Amino acid sequence: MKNISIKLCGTVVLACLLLPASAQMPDDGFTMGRGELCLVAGYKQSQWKEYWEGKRLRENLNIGTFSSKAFTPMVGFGVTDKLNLFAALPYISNNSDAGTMTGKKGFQDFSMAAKYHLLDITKKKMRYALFGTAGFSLPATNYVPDYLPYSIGIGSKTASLRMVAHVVYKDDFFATVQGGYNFRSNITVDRQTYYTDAQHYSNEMKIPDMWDGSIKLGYDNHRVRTNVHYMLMNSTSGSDIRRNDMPYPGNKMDMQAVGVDVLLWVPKVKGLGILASADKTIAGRNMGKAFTWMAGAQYVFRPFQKKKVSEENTK
Amino acid sequence: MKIINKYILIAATVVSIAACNKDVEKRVVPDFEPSGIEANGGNWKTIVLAGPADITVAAPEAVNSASYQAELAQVVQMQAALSKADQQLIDKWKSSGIIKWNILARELVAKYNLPPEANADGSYPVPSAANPGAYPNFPFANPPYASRAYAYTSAATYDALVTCWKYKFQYNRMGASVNDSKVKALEIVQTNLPSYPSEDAVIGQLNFRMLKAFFPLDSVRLLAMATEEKKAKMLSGVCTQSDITAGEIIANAVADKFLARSRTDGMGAAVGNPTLWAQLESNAVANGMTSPWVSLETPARPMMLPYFGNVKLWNFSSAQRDSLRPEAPPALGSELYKKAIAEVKAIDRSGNSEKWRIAQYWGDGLSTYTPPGHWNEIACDMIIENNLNELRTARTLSLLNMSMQDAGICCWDTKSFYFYPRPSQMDPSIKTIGTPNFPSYTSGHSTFSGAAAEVLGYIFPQQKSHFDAMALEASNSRIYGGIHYRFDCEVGLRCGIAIGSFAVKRGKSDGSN
Repeated sequence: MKNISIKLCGTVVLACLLLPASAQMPDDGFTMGRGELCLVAGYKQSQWKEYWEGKRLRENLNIGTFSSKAFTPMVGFGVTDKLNLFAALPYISNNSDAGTMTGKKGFQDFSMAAKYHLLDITKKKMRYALFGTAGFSLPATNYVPDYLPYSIGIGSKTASLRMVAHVVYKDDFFATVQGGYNFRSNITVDRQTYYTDAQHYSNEMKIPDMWDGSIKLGYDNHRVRTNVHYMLMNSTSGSDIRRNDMPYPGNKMDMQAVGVDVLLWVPKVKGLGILASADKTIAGRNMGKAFTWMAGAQYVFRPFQKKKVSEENTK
Repeated sequence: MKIINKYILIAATVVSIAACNKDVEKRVVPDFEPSGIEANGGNWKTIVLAGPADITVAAPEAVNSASYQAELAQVVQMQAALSKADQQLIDKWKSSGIIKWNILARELVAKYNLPPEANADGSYPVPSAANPGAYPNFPFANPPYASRAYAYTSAATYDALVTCWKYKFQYNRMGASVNDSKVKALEIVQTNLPSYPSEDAVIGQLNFRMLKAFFPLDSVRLLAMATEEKKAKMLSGVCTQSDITAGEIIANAVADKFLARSRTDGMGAAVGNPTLWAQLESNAVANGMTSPWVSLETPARPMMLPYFGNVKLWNFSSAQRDSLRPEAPPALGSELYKKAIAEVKAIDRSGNSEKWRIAQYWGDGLSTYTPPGHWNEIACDMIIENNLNELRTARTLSLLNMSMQDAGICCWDTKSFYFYPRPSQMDPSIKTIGTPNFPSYTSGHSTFSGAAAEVLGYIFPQQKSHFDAMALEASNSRIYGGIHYRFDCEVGLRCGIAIGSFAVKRGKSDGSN
């Protein structure tokens, strides 16, 4: 188990949307061992030409092709074999190739998560693991949320709770099912009055909470880990974009995507891995029909190794 | 165990964040007590009516007549059976009915302020008043359209109330609760203000009639509002059925006159046609414009209401409009021009800033009540703060909104005349907060705001510097948003102030002072 753990400090790519992806909380079924530090640098690019205006898929020649680019440094740490902590802060740049509207860029939300290994049972060739994750995110800067689709985020403070179930067959084949609930705070915007499906005399906007979940099926050994995934995300409330209107942060944003993830371990450099993934949005509401790819590198090491060894010896 | 504790701690933090209140805090219109009964209000000068005597209202039945006594008994009976819903209705319609209708008008503008989506062949559909429910819904309540809807509704309300006041003090029949001790006053009643005809019925019926013409798809909701308002005033003991009926007679007669004006005010020709559009461009070229305005939308969208500048004005003639038309803007490529476009370009819009905040605050773009709506909200706040009665409220909104429509007309006349390109047309690297689809010179926001601040500064002189500062900020916001040169804004603001002064002149001589 430790052999597996040393390789992994999951990075998850949320397919990019009308709303650019935030750094996602670790939601995989792998852990870092005590004292392991994992540094990740990821570059992600997401594009869409069509978006769902409510449930209607359309293009907009005054947006053209929308693209979101994100660079995300992330760090993970094994506090113990069972408790892992993660932190991330993406820098995002959003633009489109038509129309006159300005793009937006900047640091988005700082997020942290803790993942706890609740349960682990091995029976014959099967291993069953269960994790609980809790996390939060806060805007790291005073970026503009009420300028979608170009806003780099929605400006909400969020908190999330998540369960991850992980099954491994013969040490190599795995399936992960996870789901979480994201509490999202209301936001304050520059507009003092706005219309959704009614007039709101307020500079406060309600941001709907969100369910999300995913299923992954994959293969993992000491050289490579790869999986396909299906993910979905559903807002618990919010209104649709009206015909030919602009989106706003309180829209009901739903989406489903399928994709593939790969992690390749660089031979002869212990702890260094190359990450890549691709995602295609297959259904949505008030979001872009995006194609997203990500590439990055991660490095896992034990900066406090000496101390750890002695501690382990005392076990 | 320790680790589990940590885990619980994190979970507790999560839950505490989650427990945050999700209700959005909204600005609400506070209750207030209108002051003054304006016994002379029937002598105030009307706008479209030659005078209140244009409309005949029969004398009411005497207080001791059998029919009026029966009406009082009806009110007593309604109050005896007062339900919780009735009480809510009374509370809802306390203070100013005009402000409630103004709020609804602003909501309807925001609801219909969406540009039609292009057809597959690249043309754009035009909303049809004859078939309002077909896509695109009628109307497209853009700023010129909105300014006109606000102006007609406000001015008609004013004329109808002046008429109402004439008959109130001609006939002097007081309210139900004054005339009959069995009728309770369930809201604060101005006891020395005659109740026949009912000003609330005038306001409800008139706003229903006017707004129905401008927003036909919402007529059911508008009628329900008017019916509510009238019922609330009987429930609260302010008036009886004949007060209401007399108010409706005034409202219908005044609405007919204003709607007749609206059918012949030139709005029907404001859209134009492809031949006329080409003419605007060739006229500008003939006047020396080297890069006439082009739509920056894809597909190219015809200019928004290019002939709105020919619509009938409220406070001055079209000859005066021509004399108010500002001087030509700097020639493209001149040193003045280069300096102005450099200023627009130098502002960084890729992040957040005070300039961005101001640009958003005054943006009032798609899906909003537009800049005239923004100034209506500012005016209503002042009306409440100063406890204006309904007649003065009507006068304030009427002067304000007539002046803002005049501002829109003059500004559009200037835009179509010079056909001056937006900064982004001349330099596509200039990105904006969202570029309006009409020429740059002069700025509509600035013209609307200059006129509004001038009128409000006259009515609420203690706040004049505040309005002027807001107008200047609204004007500058367009440079910050990347869609206007500074000269568009400065000249627009100056013209707006000049346009506003005509409304001030009207206000000074309308007999209300």
